[in-house]
Amino acid sequence: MTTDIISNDDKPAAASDEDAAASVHPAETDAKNKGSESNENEAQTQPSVSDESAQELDHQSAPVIELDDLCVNFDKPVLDHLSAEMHGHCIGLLGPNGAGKTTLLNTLLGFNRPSSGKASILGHELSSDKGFVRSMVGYMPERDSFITGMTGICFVRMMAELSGLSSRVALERAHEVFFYVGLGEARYRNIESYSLGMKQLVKLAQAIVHGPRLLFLDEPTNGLDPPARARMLQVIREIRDSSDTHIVVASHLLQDIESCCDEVLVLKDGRIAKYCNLEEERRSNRQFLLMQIQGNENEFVAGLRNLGCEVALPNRRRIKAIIPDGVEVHQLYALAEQLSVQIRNLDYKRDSLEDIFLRAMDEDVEYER
Amino acid sequence: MAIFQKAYQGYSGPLSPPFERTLVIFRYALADVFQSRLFVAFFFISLLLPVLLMCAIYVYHNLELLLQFEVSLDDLTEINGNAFVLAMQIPQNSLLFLMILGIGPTMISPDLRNNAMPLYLSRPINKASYIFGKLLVLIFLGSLISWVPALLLFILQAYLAGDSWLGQNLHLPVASILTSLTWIVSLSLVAFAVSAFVKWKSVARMFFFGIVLLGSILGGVIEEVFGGVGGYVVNLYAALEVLMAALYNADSDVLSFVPQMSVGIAVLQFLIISLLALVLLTRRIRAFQVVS
Repeated sequence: MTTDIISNDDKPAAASDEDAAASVHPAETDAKNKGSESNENEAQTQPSVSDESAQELDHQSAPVIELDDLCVNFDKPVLDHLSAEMHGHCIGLLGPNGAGKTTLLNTLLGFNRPSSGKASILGHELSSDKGFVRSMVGYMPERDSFITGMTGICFVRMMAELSGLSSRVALERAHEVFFYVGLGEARYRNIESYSLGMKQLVKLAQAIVHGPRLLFLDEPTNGLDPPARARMLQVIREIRDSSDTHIVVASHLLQDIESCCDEVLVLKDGRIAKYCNLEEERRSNRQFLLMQIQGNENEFVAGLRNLGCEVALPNRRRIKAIIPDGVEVHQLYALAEQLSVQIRNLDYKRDSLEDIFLRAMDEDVEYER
Repeated sequence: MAIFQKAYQGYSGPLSPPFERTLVIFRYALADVFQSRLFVAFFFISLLLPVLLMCAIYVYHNLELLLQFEVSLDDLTEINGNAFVLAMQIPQNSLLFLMILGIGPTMISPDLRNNAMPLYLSRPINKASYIFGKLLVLIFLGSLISWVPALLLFILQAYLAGDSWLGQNLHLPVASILTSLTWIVSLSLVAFAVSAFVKWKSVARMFFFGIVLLGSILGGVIEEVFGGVGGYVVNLYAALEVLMAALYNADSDVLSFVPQMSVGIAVLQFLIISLLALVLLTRRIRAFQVVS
């Protein structure tokens, strides 16, 4: 039994993907073994399994989050026919204020009942496995959330016990997680006396104390000063890199998402504007070249356009060009030689998340699965 | 090993069964209640009454002591349902009301005020477990100052008085348990409902006090003006008196005033008020607020 939330960095690397796929999460298995229990209001149900290991293999290969025509209405549609399969290790939820990020998180946590459609987490459908799904997730809310009259350690321990850990293990992990997030020295202080940054960290501590398989972080850097923000992002990256925990970060701060996430879901007016793998998007997207030339600029620009490039002149003597497929950089040098133009400088400019986001906001094209 | 050399790792140990999560809420809420010195003082003072009554029962059955005090057996009241209602149940009802007034309205509001519901409900527990966990605190503490000492008194009396007394008064423990639990549960749910709507502790207490007190006054006024039992529908204490009279087989002159209401209606009244409070409570306890 593993009780430590923290392990030695020098420990051998995590098991291979094949091993991971073949293994069954013990906590999950244990919860499954407890059989099914139904509740008419909110499900505490555990799936009844006939062939547990086969089913678990299916769950291992299942998307982290799967949305199937998901709609949520509060008087008006807030989430409008969302369909996506997310497989990333750390998924960013981006969107302007009111785009539906928090509503999507709340729906995935089972707080909202979908008007139509389905949502699954790690292969478990929310409508039928809500109780079980909740035993697999950790949630850090956007707003200040705590229980009054408790010390930090008592609060986090209680949260761990509510997630199903025994009292002793919960206390042990609460201590460890406090040190892990950097609040070790403040763990016996009353939560009400914590600063805003400390409250954010204690919210993170309660979200990870039970070692969830999926971690929902809603605006984790809200209200943090630059050092605290950097620390928070560092902790998120460490969790991402050091375990098989998947993370979903909802934020409107592009830098936060860019520094942590490998996949991004961009929401706009309750719809999916874009879902992409950041690295692939950067690589495969249209390639920008930024050139500085000396010579006949007009002729060179005309030549570039003849090659099929889109050209913009943001500054004098600087040319921004988008190279179409099939055109190679050496053709630009050949053109320059032909026109007696010197290319003094040539930079590749890859799409930043900001470019991707702004394009998703501008394009009124709905993402298609 | 230094803590900074360690890294995050998930948990893969066993998980507790779902019902234990309810007990976690109960345990932490109970600890929170006992942080108040005022409550601790109240709790121990409320245990003095059964101790005194225990001494009284001992003296009642000790002829030597009675002779020393020059008290004749004829001067003493018979220990039966009437005595239990007068000496135990009626004072306990007041103690229970005071206890629930003190801690009931403050049990839910801090969680709502500090946005703690998403933390509870994002875990494998539901609203019912949360409410039941909190309710268990009041049931547990209420039982310790009501039917548990009453049961001990009953056992002592039965031991000292003999089998014939026991045979004649076997209904007393059942009456004590049912009356106390009905009173505790219904008052607690009303207190929780108030707590869910009023964020400030003292205002919530006043509100709860007002609901119970004004209910009694309003019930009396309606009864005076319109007659019948309609007025008692909003008067919880009237329903409790009906229940006590029926369960204890108490004489009509023991209870100051027993409304002309059937036990069924009294039970129905408790059920309706409890269900109403429960519905309000469950509607109020949400993981998030919808702003439309």
